[in-house]
Amino acid sequence: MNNKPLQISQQPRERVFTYLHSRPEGLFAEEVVERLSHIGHNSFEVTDRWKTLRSLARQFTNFFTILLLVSAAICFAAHRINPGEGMIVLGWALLGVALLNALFSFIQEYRAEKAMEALRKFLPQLVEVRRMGRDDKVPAELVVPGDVIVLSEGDKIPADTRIIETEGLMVNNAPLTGESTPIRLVSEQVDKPLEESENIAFAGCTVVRGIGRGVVFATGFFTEFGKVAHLSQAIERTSSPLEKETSHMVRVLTVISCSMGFGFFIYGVVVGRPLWVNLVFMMGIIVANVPEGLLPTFTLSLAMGSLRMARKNVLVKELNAVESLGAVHVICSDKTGTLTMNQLTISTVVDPGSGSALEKAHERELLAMALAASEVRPAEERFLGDPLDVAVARRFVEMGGDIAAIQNEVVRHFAFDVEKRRSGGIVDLSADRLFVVKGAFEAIQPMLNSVAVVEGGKGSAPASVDTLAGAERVMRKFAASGLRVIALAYRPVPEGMPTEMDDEAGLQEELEHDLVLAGFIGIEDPIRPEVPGAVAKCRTAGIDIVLITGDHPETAMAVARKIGIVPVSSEDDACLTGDQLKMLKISGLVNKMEQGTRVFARTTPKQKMKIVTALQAMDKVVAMTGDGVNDAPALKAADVGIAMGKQGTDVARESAQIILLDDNFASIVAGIEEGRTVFENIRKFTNYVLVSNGPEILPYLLYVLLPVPLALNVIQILSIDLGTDIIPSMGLGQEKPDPEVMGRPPRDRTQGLLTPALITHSYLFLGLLEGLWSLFLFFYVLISGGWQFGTDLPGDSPLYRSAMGIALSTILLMQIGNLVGRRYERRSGLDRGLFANKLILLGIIIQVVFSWATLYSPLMNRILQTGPVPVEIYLMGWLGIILIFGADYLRKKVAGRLAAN
Amino acid sequence: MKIEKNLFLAYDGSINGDWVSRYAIRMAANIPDKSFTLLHIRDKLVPLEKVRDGVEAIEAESRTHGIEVKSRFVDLSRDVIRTLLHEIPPGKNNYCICGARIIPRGKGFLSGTISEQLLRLKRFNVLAIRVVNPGLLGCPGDLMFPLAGHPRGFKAAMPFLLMLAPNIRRIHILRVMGLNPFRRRYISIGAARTLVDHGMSYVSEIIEEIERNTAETPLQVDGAAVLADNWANEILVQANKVHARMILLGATERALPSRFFYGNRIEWLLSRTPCDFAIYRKT
Repeated sequence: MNNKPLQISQQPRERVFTYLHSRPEGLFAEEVVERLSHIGHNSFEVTDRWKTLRSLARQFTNFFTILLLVSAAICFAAHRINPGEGMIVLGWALLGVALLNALFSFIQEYRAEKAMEALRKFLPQLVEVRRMGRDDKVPAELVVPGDVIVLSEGDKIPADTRIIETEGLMVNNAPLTGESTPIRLVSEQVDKPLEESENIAFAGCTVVRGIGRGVVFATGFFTEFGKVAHLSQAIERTSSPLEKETSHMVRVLTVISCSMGFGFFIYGVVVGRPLWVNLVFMMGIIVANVPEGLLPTFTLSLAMGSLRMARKNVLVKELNAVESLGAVHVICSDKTGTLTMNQLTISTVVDPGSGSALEKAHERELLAMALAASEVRPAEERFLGDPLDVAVARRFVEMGGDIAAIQNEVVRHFAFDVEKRRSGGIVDLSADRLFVVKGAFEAIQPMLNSVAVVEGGKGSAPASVDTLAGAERVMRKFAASGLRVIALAYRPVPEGMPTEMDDEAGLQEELEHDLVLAGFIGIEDPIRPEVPGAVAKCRTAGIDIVLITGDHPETAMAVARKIGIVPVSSEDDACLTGDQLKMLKISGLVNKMEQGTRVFARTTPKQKMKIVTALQAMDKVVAMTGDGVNDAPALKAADVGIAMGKQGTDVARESAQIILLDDNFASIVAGIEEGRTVFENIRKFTNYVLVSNGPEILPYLLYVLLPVPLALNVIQILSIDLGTDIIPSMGLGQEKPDPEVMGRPPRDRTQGLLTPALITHSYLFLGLLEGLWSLFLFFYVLISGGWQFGTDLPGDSPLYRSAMGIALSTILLMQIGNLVGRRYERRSGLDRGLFANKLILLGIIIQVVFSWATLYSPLMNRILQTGPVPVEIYLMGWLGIILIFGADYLRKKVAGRLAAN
Repeated sequence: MKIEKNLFLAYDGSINGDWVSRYAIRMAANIPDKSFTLLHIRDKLVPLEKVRDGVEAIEAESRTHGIEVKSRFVDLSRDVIRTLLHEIPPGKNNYCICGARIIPRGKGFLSGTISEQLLRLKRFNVLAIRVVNPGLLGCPGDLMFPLAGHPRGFKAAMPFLLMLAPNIRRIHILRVMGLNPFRRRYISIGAARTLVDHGMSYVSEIIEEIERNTAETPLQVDGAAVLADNWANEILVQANKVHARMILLGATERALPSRFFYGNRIEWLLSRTPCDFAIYRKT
């Protein structure tokens, strides 16, 4: 960009009115109207009348829902053609499942609106505006570019404003920058891009102190805060891995069921069966193929997973996030409070020349000076203020110092300036009036005249190149050990110099030279004790951790090394700073990350978005932590947004899918373990449920192809899918984590839930086995009852009902063997202990009771159109349990051997 | 790279016209004769006194930038569009900058406006701008170019970019791969990757083309290809993600006949844009 003054921040104060087509007396009413009509109201509202309806409609475009709805429609049509067959019940059941699924998803989506409500709180209701020469309070949403506004202490800033007058105006830009330290605003031109200028008051931020006047240049969504609001609203989270895998599974099952159903319908038409019979068969095949209970069980399993996660301090807001967390490849984590305890403590105060720790008396003296450049307020047994200042105060008190006495001696305080990265104060200490500066060494170094020499007696050495290099070495040494290092410098205030002058900036400038570097304060934020273990667990689980912090690169790298994010031997250049990140293209960032960059220091919350984008371009499933308002877009853009429960803002919490109740990184890892277990369990019960599809489909195939009675009717199929299979599936969904769940890398996303191996195992092995054994008993009962091949049986014939009863009963019993076998992929499943999982036990009891009731309970006989069989035949059904379990166990053994070889 | 260009600013006297004039001034700074022609058609929609004040302010600001303004107040003959067409000669070296602003009948920012007709008639190059952040003063800094994947690449956009380039730091090329909502929902990871890769290879070609043509200007050019079922919404989301200060969208040649302009998408974008928005069309 050329060097001429460009944007409004780079223009001199006196030109601001001209450039913004305004004047000191403010805008005229007609100008306000014109600008309002062009720019719109100063709000974040987007009126979209159809949004809710659209969202509701979208839930019904789910493949499974469509399939269920079509099936329900066929049932209603069948009932109309031929009432009294129970089709109406089936229709309502299918419709109910479809509606429940859709409604549940809709409610989840609707809750996303809450983030917007939280954002609205950052804008004021009324603003003091100067229009036509009069100061007036007007609703904030009527503020337009060119309006002259007055800002006073405590005001929320309504729009992006170029400051033209200021009296000690200080603002808190935390909603935008995450930095809670107030910033002093100026009215002079600043040669920086607009978003970094100190002469701009940004919408959504708050005036902490002072008063000022400015001219609005951007309102509503066009402000910096508006961009955060827009992203928090407009970013649509990509489908979770589970959603994608479920939809793939549904597609496959839909294609199978529809093509089979339609195929048999055509076949029926060709062979001349009545239309009604063809319709029933088509529907029967579809119903038999669709595992109706699977999606509700998914939801239940995720809900139970979320409850277990809540016990581990991981609160799940969106159910799909339970499994998404288990699929993550990378966790992007904040440092302070998540990896560390956010309890700053002074671990050392050192001599800047030698780096050796100061004696107690000398340390206390230095802390007293540091206090003069700090802002702390004593409250009941603690201090309030910036965590660093509080750490200084706590240490001073521990050493027997009297805070009140020091604060009484402070003549003037200069607040921390984010740009200058230092704070200051004038204090009377031991009869001397000193000007003290506390801040980053890089910020203080240019103002140094000498460096204090403690060893060998008090004194100071001139700030030569060598002395300063020595001091820097000391600073770096401590930073490299993970300490945050603060430099402290001072100078005597010349006698007679007025210190009460109004021009604070001028006074500070006048004093900021010829300083003596007094010492370095090493501040530690202890690492949470459980974090290194959790990081190690992530490594074993193939999960990468990316550390994102606003801290100094050396401090960031030291922490990363300590907790194992990067190898101990890694160089400091393995870290990228915010400035470097700014210059990188996404492809460049991808390269850096492929080369092993895992630490980002001196970054802003805005840059989290870039990191997420790069990681997603690498096909990674990304979890991102955040707590500030400005973290909200990145939290929404990540595959799993994790907000901090303790430190987090409402906006971050509402934008995230997961809230970490204890802000602890280790809880994320516990959540991942739970998420992986949930997926494993989903796979187990999908396998379990699909096995019963085999014996459900087989009778229809036989019926259509051969002159034999139908072994199972649609109601009986649904009694399995929506009845007896549900509790065992939930039981499998409750299984505890396998010991090796965190010993495997994240699963391959291209490999869906429904793999060819799973289909073969479900349909062609166990499903076929169940089908053959149940059909064997079906025909055994028929033949022993006198039925002959090719003859027709009326639907209410007791023989036919008994045969159907034993077929259904056998399937229910064989599902017990299937259930136990599903508990382990390689082991028998019995070794998990039947009593260890109460739902599995309950599922087994239900299967047994229902298998009995199907045959011998008159009520169930009536509902399911079944009849009793001799007990010895029923016991043959029990043999099916051993048959299916034994065959599966044999398969596991053979597969194990083959894998070992 | 300096190319012979004649710049015209269609100035209506509105506040948007004042803000749009900043872009004209900045762009004029990058053409050889450092000047532009300000045309105001006396349609009496804005009081002449206000128009005169506006023109004087534009002339004064242009002088500070060393830009010569040839201001012309033209009497209305039949209607504004015909008068403008009479005043601006057709040709590929002529560029007309105009505003996209809400019109009294409130139809929208483009549909039914003079700017829309100018874009549609394709007699000369047109750039219609809606300014929402007047604080940028015509220097957006970060620019987003959403591209539809036209085989001609970036040729149509290049002259506009070259005029804006000195006031740009970063350019973000965006290729939105449109999918219907159903497919978007069910697309497999592999198929999605293939589509994105396809989009990215197009983006890479465009980036190379831009870098070749703007070698003299220090620009950072980055790009992305994304899948979306609502391309318009995706443009706005991506613009905010990369902190774009201006979106420069081409009026595509393929779908231009009325459907494009009268369709809701452009209006939708113009009404919801988070930053300054410009629509260009080359002859």
